[in-house]
Amino acid sequence: MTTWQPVLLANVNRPNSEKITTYLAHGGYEALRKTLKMSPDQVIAEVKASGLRGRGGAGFPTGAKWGFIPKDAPVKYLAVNTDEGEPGTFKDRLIVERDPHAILEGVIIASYAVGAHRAFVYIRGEFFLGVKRWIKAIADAYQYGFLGKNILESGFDLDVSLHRGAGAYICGEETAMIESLEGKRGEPRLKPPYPAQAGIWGQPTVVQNCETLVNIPHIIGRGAAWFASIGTEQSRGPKIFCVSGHVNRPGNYELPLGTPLREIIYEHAGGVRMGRSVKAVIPGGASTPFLTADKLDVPMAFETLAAAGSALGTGAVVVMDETTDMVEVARRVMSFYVHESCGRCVPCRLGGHNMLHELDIIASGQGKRANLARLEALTRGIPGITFCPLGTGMCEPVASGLKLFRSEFEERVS
Amino acid sequence: MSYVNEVFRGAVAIAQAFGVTLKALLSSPLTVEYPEQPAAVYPRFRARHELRRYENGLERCIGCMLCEAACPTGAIHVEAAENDPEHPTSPGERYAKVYDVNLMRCVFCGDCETACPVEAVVLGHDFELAVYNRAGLLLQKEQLLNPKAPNVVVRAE
Amino acid sequence: MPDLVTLTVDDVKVTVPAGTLVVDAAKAAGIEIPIFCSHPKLDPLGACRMCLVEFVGPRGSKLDTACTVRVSEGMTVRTSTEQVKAVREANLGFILINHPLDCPICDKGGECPLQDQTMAYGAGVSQFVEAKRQKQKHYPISDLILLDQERCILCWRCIRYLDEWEDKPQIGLFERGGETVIDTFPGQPVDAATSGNIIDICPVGALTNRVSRFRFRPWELKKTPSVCTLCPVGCNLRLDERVHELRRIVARENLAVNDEWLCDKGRFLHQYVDHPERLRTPLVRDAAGEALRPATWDEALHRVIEKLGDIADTNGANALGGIASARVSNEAAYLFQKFFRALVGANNIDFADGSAVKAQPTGLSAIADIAKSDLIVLVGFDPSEAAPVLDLHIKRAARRAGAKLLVINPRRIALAKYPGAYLPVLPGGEAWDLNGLATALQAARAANQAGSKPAPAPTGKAKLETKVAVMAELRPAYDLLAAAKAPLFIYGPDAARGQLGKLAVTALSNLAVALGFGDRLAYVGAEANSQGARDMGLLSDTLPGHQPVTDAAVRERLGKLWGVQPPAEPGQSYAAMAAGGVKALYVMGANPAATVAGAEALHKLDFLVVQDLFLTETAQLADVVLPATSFAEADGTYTNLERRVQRGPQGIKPAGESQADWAILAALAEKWLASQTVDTGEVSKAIEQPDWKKKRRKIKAGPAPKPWNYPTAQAVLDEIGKAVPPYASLRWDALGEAGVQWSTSALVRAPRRVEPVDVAPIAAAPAGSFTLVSGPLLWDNGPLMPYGAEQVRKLTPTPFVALNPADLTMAALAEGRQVTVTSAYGNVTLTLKADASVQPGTAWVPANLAGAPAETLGAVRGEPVSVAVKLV
Repeated sequence: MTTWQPVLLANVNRPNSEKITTYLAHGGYEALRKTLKMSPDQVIAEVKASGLRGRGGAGFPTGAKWGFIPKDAPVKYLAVNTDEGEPGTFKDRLIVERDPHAILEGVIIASYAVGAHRAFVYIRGEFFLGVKRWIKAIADAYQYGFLGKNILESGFDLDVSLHRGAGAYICGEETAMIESLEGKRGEPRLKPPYPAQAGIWGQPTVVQNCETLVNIPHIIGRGAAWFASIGTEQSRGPKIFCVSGHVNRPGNYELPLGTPLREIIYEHAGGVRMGRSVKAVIPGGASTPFLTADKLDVPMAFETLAAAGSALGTGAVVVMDETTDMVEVARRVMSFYVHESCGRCVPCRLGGHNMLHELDIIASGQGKRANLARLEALTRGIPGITFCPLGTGMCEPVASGLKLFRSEFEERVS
Repeated sequence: MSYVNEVFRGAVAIAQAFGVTLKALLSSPLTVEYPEQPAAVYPRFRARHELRRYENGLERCIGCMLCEAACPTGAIHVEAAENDPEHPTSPGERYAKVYDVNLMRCVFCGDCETACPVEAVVLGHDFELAVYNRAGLLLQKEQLLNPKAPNVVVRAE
Repeated sequence: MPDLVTLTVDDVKVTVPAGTLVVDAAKAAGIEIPIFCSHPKLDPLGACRMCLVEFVGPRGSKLDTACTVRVSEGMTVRTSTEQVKAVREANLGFILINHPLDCPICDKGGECPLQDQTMAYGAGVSQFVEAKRQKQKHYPISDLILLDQERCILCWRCIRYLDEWEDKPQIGLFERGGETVIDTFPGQPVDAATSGNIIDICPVGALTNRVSRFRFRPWELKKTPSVCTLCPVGCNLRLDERVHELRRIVARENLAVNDEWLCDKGRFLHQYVDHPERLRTPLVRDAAGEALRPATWDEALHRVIEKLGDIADTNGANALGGIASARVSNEAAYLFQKFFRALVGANNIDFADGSAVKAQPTGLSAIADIAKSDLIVLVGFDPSEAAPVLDLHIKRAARRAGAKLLVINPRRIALAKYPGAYLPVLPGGEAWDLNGLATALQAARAANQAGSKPAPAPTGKAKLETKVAVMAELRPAYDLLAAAKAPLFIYGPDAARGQLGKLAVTALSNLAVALGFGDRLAYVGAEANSQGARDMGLLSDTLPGHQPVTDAAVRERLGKLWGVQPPAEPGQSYAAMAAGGVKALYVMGANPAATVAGAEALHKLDFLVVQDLFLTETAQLADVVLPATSFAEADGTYTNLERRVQRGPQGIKPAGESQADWAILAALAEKWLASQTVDTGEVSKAIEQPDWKKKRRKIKAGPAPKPWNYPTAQAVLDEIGKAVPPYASLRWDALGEAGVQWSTSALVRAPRRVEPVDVAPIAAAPAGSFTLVSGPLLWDNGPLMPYGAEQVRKLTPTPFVALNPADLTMAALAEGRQVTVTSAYGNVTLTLKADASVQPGTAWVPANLAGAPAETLGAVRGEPVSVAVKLV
């Protein structure tokens, strides 16, 4: 069993963890002081050297992303994505509610590195407590001089404002989040231009997931070498795994990347409930393909999960035991996606609708082989042709369900 | 010998010939006393146009003008209009305000019938088209909707 | 010259400018990629996924949308692989899941991209059997457009058009995912002036035309390319005819003029062509007090020449006058002035806003220049109401090309909201402000030139700050003008009428010259063929080709062409003739009797001929009424505001016996010539002739007019080429479908000199009264509006007067009340409205409302008019 002293979640269980005083008492904002003595390029170099990859799902190297921001642009923005909507994911919520200053420090450092003087926090509308804590954190930071004009006498200015989402999964996609921030309908934008070229109001914008930003102060504070020493070749650093489903102790577990899935389930999350065996695991949130029980020894890292036919995603481990009805799982996940499809492009809006329809028929036991054939055709036809990854993501659980648990589907149809 | 033979053959031939006549004498006559009696036509016979209605009395025709487009001789003229939602003429949004058929041009090919998406226009069995006045061959919607004997079989395509 | 990029589309190599979208590059290569959401005039969206094609790259091929990917060098695109075909089939299948199959009753059926593409790329059979989604069907989103949400495939073209071109995002997406629908916002119908374009660009029958609803099927129509004659833009359109009725008008692409847009007035106001009240036969009045009765053409024309001849014989040629409209074709305008100048022998010819307005002869250098300008100066001109398609171009320039707008207008017009400056003026006060700006700019220029000689000049502005005193309220306008690198000046009749208007135009031209852009100053008239009417010399003091009547050389040249020379002295203006300055009046397409005062003046005439489409107020007073054809029923050419001569061919059969304006004039001239004989002193022999020919007018011996021989409109244009120098190079056959701009090189008239202007500021109306402001309104009660379709007629407001809300409060008046508005010229009863675009101290009464209130109050006289507003 890997022993790991939590870094990202170090504060969350302290009393009054959300208060700035608590954060300061445990070394908070020290990394910021250090940062302000460095040049922005040095900060970017440090983050690049750490090998940090985005924790929002796509795993894009953070340092490289910052490097894309044009240096000469007059106005640049940082956007913090706290629209945590991926089913099975609840890590950002914990940090926002229990340790908002950890994020805020990352925000300030990241803004300093890319030269942004304005940062927007986009938070999921349902995080009522999170919103309160964020607002308080921002206000306190202003009071302590970590935000506003001339931060800590460094000459660096930064303003942070908060924007609540109105409940759309698609707004977790960075361009849809930018649209929503601008007050428009939350729908993804055409890429290119990428946000790094033209994001919020057409200005270069860095969009970062909450958890990614929490890593930043530690990289600066403890050094890139410390961070790079954790994890596997292509997946560095610690990661919060949100374990849910049929386990005895569901919750957020901070562990180094590369920790085997079996260890997470059986040793950290207390094993499968009632001693049953694992039937399937979703390793990275609902849009990643299933893993079957024989793949439990896979290390939880970007490259290893890709090799195993799935993806790390947000690190949301959903465990399903042997009693789980996989057709129903596919149907439930599908109904989520159909509900969350923004309606912009045809395959996702109407194709998704159709997949759900076929799944409904199959799950009800009225299905014929033709329904299954159509469903399969749809899972092959939709991915890759939709406007944004949501359309592709919605097919993954059904496609992998059909691949790995085909017999369950076939039993339902006549 | 050959003479007797010839007479015998002749008698047989005559009997055979009269046999046809005799048979015909005994069967009922084929002649139809038209116009005193109605002339029967085959079900797929195509004559004067009719416009059909639904059972609830609404006109079938939606004024789509496809029959006009299909007509090889330009014998049909349709003008459509919007239904009054309170007092619809046909189901839906659109009905035929004008539906004219020029029987002088019509070649009874049945293309209008094939083109019709709602089986509104059909070629009926009324073939008594002779009139004293050319204008009588220009049929308007009222005449088409009220045929003499609405006994039309809708033909399968 | 943009960089060129070569790519391969299905083994065809094609070279296109960098930045081209793959879908357009494929089109250039002759390969069609099916599209729904993509549109050449709208920003890429990538929503329908119909244009997915395979891009072959080093890492294998991948599918992407041809409508969003821009070309790159060496790109290889495959548009007909099995994968692409499968995707198209699947996509069409998805779209048809919810698209109702009511094609037989859908107005788009037959010209529907969804139908066409389903036939071309669809699977042929449906895989899906479940019930279609129910949504709102055929409900109005404006007076002119119906929306059917079930048919909508959510391509966003209408949303994007209204946002990107109109800047009026009035249609939006509602709900999410499979429930998404398009709709208007609650209580806000679409009111954009060019909203009808969304019908044209809708790839399905979701948006349909209410005026033409169910009146056509596309395959039954006879389609004639033509031009619009409702405003001077001259948009290209297509006349769709069925059984001799004009059933529909749609836009036709002409990138130089209207792109592919059309305003709602041009699109929906066409039922007048088939209106039952159209004049179908000539009418004559046998004696005063009797009613008009139908007559034959022969009789009516005979009556006209007999009466005109008699009056000319007794009172002299100058007792005859002609008022035309600038709506008529070049051919009609030319023959009208030729009739008066060559046959009658008088220069009494004019049209409303004709000789009363000081117009720049050359018009706009090009509509395309709008997009290339960094400052557009609009003086007394409101494109949003007067020329909506020009308004589209200006908005596009302001939003996409960063052009600034300087609006000088008594009313804060809609375009004043764009970056730039708005300079409120009182009517007639334009000259004062423009002169102030011109003087300051001249001074600045002089200072700059002086300053730049010894040392490299600092940027102009820094210098100006110290040396030039500018009135504070002119400062924003001054700064814009001083910074402009490619300004464009457009003024309209409202700033150019009368003596004050002449000063304003001179000041404006000084301003343009001071900036060095004298050639970028344009006048845009109110009526469609204003430019053509001026080119044809339909003015009392100007001969064809913008030559003054006092120019002997020009008179001699025309004399050679016509047989007789035009008279040398200028004739009477529109106002003088309409006020009764002549004994007999020939009115072609105008309506001077719209006001009570105008009708009274016409009562005094001895003889009145009216040539029009309808029995207008003026025609009701006429002794002879001649039925003319509309633009759709006769061939003719029209010259738009950028001097583009465009042909509007005959698209439908003329109503009744009506004839083209030019043909009536040609027939009249023929009779006129036949009815006169040179007085040789002999008694003419009575030979077998119709009655009217027996009585021949005797004219003095001298140069005789040449015979008129115009079998076709083309023959008239051929002669115009000889009479109007700038038209000399025009050839009928070369006009084609896009028209030809006449070159200004034959007519170098761009002002080069600065003329001093002596002007005083205009005093505001005395306390308690308001200065009358008038101007065009798109949906006014203009000559054809009362005969439009019901939906169109509804758009005309009841006659109103609008005051600034502050004035309304001060005067303790309430919106919606009936008020009497009184000026020195008359009084009218109007409904009171509050309108923040109306400046304090002014009262806004649009032109051409029912009962002609603005005209009655004296709004078009070119002088400030103060009005009192009292509750009834």
